[in-house]
Amino acid sequence: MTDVAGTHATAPVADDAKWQRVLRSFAENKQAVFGLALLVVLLLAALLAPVIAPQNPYDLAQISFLDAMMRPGEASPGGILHVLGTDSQGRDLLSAILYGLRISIVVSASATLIALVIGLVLGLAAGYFGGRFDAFLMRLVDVQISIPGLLIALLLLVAMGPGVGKLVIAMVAIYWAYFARIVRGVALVERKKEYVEAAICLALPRWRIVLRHLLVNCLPPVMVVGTVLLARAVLLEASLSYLGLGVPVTQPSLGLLIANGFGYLMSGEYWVSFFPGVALVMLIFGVNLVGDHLRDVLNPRLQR
Amino acid sequence: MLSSPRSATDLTSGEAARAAAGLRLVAPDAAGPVIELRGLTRVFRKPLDFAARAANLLGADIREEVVRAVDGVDLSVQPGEVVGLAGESGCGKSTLGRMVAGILSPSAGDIYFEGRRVAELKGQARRDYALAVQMIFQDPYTSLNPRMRIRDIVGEAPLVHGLTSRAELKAYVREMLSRVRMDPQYDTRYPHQFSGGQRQRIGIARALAVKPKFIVCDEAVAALDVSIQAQILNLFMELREQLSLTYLFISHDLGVINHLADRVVIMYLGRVVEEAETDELFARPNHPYTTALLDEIPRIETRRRVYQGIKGEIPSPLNPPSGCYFHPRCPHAMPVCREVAPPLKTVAPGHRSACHLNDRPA
Repeated sequence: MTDVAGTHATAPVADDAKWQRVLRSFAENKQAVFGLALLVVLLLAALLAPVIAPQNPYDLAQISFLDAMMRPGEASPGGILHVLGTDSQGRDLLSAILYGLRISIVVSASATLIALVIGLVLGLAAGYFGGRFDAFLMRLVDVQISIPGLLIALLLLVAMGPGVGKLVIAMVAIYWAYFARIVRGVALVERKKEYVEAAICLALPRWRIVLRHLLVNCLPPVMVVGTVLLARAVLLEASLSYLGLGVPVTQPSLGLLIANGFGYLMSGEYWVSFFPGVALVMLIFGVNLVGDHLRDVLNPRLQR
Repeated sequence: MLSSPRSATDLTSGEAARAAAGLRLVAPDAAGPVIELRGLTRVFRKPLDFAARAANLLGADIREEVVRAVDGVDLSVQPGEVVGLAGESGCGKSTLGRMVAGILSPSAGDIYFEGRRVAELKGQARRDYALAVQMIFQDPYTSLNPRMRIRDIVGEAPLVHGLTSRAELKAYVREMLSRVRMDPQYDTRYPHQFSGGQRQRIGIARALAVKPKFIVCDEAVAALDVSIQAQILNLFMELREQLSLTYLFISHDLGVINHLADRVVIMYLGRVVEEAETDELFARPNHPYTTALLDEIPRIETRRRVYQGIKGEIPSPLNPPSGCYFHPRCPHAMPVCREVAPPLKTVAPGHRSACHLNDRPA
């Protein structure tokens, strides 16, 4: 009876066992490792674009119309080897893809992140305080989610005009609702748990209960939804750019590059659309693989 | 394994308690009850939603659902006393405990803490009350924040409320852990690394860390193995002696209540039906509901007996019976029981019961 509790029953394991488990489980899954590797390579390529790209596609002085529509593997008279060919304006396609990857990633990642923060704040408030605010917010979310995202973005972009910043705003306007709904649901469940009652009983300040107790316990599902929505955001950005309402023509993202080459697809000049398309697919595929596995790892019900 | 927790000095009689409560009306008195409840009531409503209101416009008769989870409970607890609160699940004992602990606010009635009306407390006094009354929860798996280390779980509140400094926090937390007989070196671990009994100890350490006077134990051992239950119950009793704590011990397990409590309160559908000192109640139960509950305690000596169960189901609290709530299940029900709710009446010194049978001429 007087022995110290803890010397029996479950032997406590090391502190950071949880993250070790996440990492180990990640390493065991070949798909997840492949997805992560793919993402890391693409991110590095995008980050190092100015260093590794054969030319700067934004610098008009480096681009010559004479180099237009070169086949993959041809070298221009200027001496640059166009591994993936050139487009109709003589831009080196590999360089354009590397720079386009940057824009695609920056736009979709920042849009997802901003939407996540907004959704987190609103969802937490709705879940914790409930009442009219909750009812109002959730009906707004219902309406928002029932309208196709592409349509909302198109309307907003038509109203605001094109531009990278406005593209981000339009995408945030779509995705905050998904985050808000998920966070609100999780917050409702967590709020009823006894550790929150204990925090109330200990007379902790309200903001502290919401931030230190509720917020951290709502994060895992948000991370999972975040990766799924990130993949969708990449696709949406590409679609909008393809439709001509996304990024400006002078700074093409992957979607705009695909759109640029679309006209030549049927005439055998496939590469202008094909290679940006491959880059886009790899990016989305990588994000999805990592996101899928993250979901498995963070879901307590699927834990081994 | 279990030592006898009750000592003679702790047996403050219910009669003396009420006498003290009467005096206490004049001035806050240190010798008065720690916690006194007067007509404490909690009503849960489910307001009609838009669809239901629309249906009502069209002639449907959908009423708001109202549950009186706790209905006019009077109770006083003397310093150092252990009051056991028993009753079937759904009788409102947890709701009562949560109101006392300040987690739920009462719909009507008052809580007095050391003679002062809690509803009137502001600022520092309010905080002192909140910290002085702590709660131990039923489920040790959801009552600890899974993302916090033990030292943060135990140390957060004392740090926020200035009971310790950041420099002394580590020693403070370790002292709390040793007090609940846990290895203080575990303070950097997370809750999932512990067993149910250990987690419950951590929950107790968290409550002790704000130096409470009164602890509400809400089915605090119900989720534990029987052997662990005994350890935790003994811990409660040790702490009571070391720190002169007062307990409101909520349990559906009359065996546990008999073992721990000085006084027992029996609740049925949100109302108190009987209240007496533990020995008196177990020896001479007055209310038919109490008698029925006591009959169902499994005992080794009564191995061959057939358990009857209390006949019928506990009625829906949405639509409680008229008169005495227990009359549909009561073997002694009389016509008056259907009409009039019996008030609590003193049937012996310190022994109150709410039953019309006591009104019959002897």
